Amino acid sequence: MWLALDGELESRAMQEQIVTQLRAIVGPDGILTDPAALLAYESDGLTLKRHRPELVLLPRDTGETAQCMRVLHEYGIPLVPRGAGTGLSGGATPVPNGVLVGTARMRDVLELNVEDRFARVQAGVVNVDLTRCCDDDGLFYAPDPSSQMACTIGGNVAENSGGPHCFKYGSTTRHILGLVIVTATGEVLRLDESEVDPDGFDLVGLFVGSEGMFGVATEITVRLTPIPPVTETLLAIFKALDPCCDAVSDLIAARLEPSAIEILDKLTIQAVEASVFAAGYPQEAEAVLLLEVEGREAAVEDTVERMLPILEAHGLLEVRRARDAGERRKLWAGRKGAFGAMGRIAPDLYVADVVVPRTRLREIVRYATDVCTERNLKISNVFHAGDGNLHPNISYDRRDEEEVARVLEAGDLIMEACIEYGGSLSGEHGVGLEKQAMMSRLFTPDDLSVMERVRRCLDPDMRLNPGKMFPVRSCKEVRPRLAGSSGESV
Amino acid sequence: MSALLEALAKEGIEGELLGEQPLALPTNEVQVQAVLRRAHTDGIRVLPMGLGSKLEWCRPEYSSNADLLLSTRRLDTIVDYVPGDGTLTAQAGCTMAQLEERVRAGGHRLTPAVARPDVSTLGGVLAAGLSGPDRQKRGPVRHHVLGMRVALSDGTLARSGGRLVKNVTGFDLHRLYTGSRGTLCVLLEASLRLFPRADDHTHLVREEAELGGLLTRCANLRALESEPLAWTMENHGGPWRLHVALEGRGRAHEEDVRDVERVLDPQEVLRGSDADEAFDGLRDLEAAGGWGEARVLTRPSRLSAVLRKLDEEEGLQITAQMGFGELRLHLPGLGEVSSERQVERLGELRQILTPLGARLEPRTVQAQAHAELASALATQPALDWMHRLQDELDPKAQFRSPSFPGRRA
Repeated sequence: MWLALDGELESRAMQEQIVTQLRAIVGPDGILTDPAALLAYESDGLTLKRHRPELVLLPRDTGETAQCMRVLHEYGIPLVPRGAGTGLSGGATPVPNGVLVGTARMRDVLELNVEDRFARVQAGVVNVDLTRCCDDDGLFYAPDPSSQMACTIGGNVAENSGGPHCFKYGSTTRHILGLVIVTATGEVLRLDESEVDPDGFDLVGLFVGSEGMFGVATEITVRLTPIPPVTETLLAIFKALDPCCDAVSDLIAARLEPSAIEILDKLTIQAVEASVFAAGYPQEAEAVLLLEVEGREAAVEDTVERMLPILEAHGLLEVRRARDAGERRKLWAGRKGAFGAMGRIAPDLYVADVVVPRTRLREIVRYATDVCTERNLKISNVFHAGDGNLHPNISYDRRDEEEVARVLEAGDLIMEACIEYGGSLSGEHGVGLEKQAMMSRLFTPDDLSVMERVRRCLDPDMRLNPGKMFPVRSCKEVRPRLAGSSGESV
Repeated sequence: MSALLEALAKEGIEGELLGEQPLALPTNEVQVQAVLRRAHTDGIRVLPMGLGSKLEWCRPEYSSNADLLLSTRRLDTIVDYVPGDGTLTAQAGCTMAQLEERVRAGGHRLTPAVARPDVSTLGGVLAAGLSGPDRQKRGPVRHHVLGMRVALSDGTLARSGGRLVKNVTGFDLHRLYTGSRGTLCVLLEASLRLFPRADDHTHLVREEAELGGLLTRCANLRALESEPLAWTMENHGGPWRLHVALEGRGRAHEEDVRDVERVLDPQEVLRGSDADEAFDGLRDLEAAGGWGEARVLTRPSRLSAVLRKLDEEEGLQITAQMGFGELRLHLPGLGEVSSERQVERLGELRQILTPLGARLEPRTVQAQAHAELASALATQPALDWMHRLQDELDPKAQFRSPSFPGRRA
């Protein structure tokens, strides 16, 4: 029951009235109220935090979303936008008394413009499907989160998602040209620009990465990138993790420009090799570096030639080159399947996501390992080394409360160390619920206050994804209100 | 000396008169904060600026309406340059030339490559949201701003982002501030992503009296695998000239040059420092406008049609970025034609461009034309969001800055 009404009967009647209104908009397939069906929406990839939504709405397009949002606005009901629920920071965790608005039925590619290299898609289009729809035309969509087989473009926009190839191509924000947004009040905001840098504020740039707090993106215009003529994938094998990290710092300092630089440590390698994602990584290695170089043939050869002496100077044992597209796919499948493969180590996985200056990789990796070892936790590392974006992954069993406490403590210590090293709390997963308490360590009260003011002016009732990102500094929560009355915060 | 400057002087904040307007010249963030706090309390209208090279973008009455000009030019410290990390953090008053020189020594290149870097400050460039011809390869400047420190109209100091090449913590308010033209805040400090400086540079030019032949070559250039640093068409010297700037290393660079030569059949192929000079010339075309510049935005696929149509018009100097669909139009300025004629001319151009799917944006044009063009730039809901943001961050309408998005009526 989400309405705070006086009598239960009246409350139930009101609830039924609202459900009827919403069902009339989205049809019977677009609304989930059955508790069994709602179970699947209790959390996103951050399974430590769960809350069953009151109902789930699955509108088919901008119009239906706008109508639903108007109804939710009328009754003051908080809502959480959700893509595929693959996020790892709790950004799509339902909120008390709230509704989930999912984009699972918005899966159409609305326009593909090969000449001007852009596509206009509905928010629920799966990341990898976007590339599939344009690769015959020699184009691809560059941001490639590890969850790209399932995650949606709308979710990528909300979290400003990354991926291994963001080292060269940049995070999602650099690939979004336009948006259609449904605001908290149900108004449709078209920021659908496929021209360059229009005058006025960069509302698209502001919206990307706003974690569902400014509106629901329903249509997205993305920039497509030409598929490079030549791609070389290398697997560099190291006898220890520290020199592997140092090699990355030196590659960056040498101003070499591969398109991806990824590190996998021994425990990750073993988990991958024991799984369906087995990629042929050497299980005796302490660490491997997965490198990809793209471009014209001469440029690729030149970059590889320059990289090798740097790798050798750091104790490179062996370098393997993918011989064909099949081998390349296999190497990447291992990398992208690494999180899934860790299910072999323990039933649950805490995926940290922190960033440090690229000159400090070795220190933070060493620190994270020590923190976990001291707490008798299993840590594995697989990360976007080229961007300084680490994913220390801690395997645990959530049924063991004491172990969960140790995991959370280790996660906090790693984040604090990153801040101390000049780093940040998230490189690609967002803040969500997971890191909100740490925000006040990174930002001053004034920094946070300005962000909150911006949020409040775009969603004055604070009904969009409430209780996320910002640290709780006072006991405030959004309560729904009856039609015609003013909203209340208590 | 104005009473306002005298009052500021008592707080240790220097200033001078610029024409008849008082200009505050704080030397640190605390002084900027003090100026803004006083302005907030006393209802003083402030126009933020760097060295003032883009003040022409304002509607003229905006700069004259300000009670106080506030320049960040004396906040000119390079805070941090980490060659091993490829990032630079600098105060807003550093000139782009100062920054370019510093990072060149570490093997990096700064983007955007703006016109007149010696008189353009970092804060001014970011506030203007300027990109240079290198946008072709690097993308727009807003993609490379990693974080910012700003002062709001009430003197609140706030940061967003950081100094990291990848970071999604908190809202990207620096994206909002970039290109906000002093309407939301005073930029104090920014961190930028840098790019490796290439070993080899080549600049190729072909000149033709007729536009048609060059447009055919452009279509063929688009199909090449080479990725130029800049790709610009212009008619500033009379005939049309197509420039392609390439950068790279060794054999791969030579391969790019050969491909472009084959398609372009250039009359000039400049190497090394000559190529750098030619590229600087391209940058400076952006500053050639004077009081009569407008911008045209369109999709790259529509550029040929737009250029053909504009080529039929008399008295236009055009710079077209062929890879990303931006044109600068340099019209006869107010010294050469009457104010009414400029308004009329811009109206004519808009009539020509709109059916082609291109839109005209004002830059240094007459006030009435500026207002008319700006009013058509965004849909009403988007304008509403912009106004709400302005009302929130500058509730007293204290910043007197360029007109778009303007203040809520």
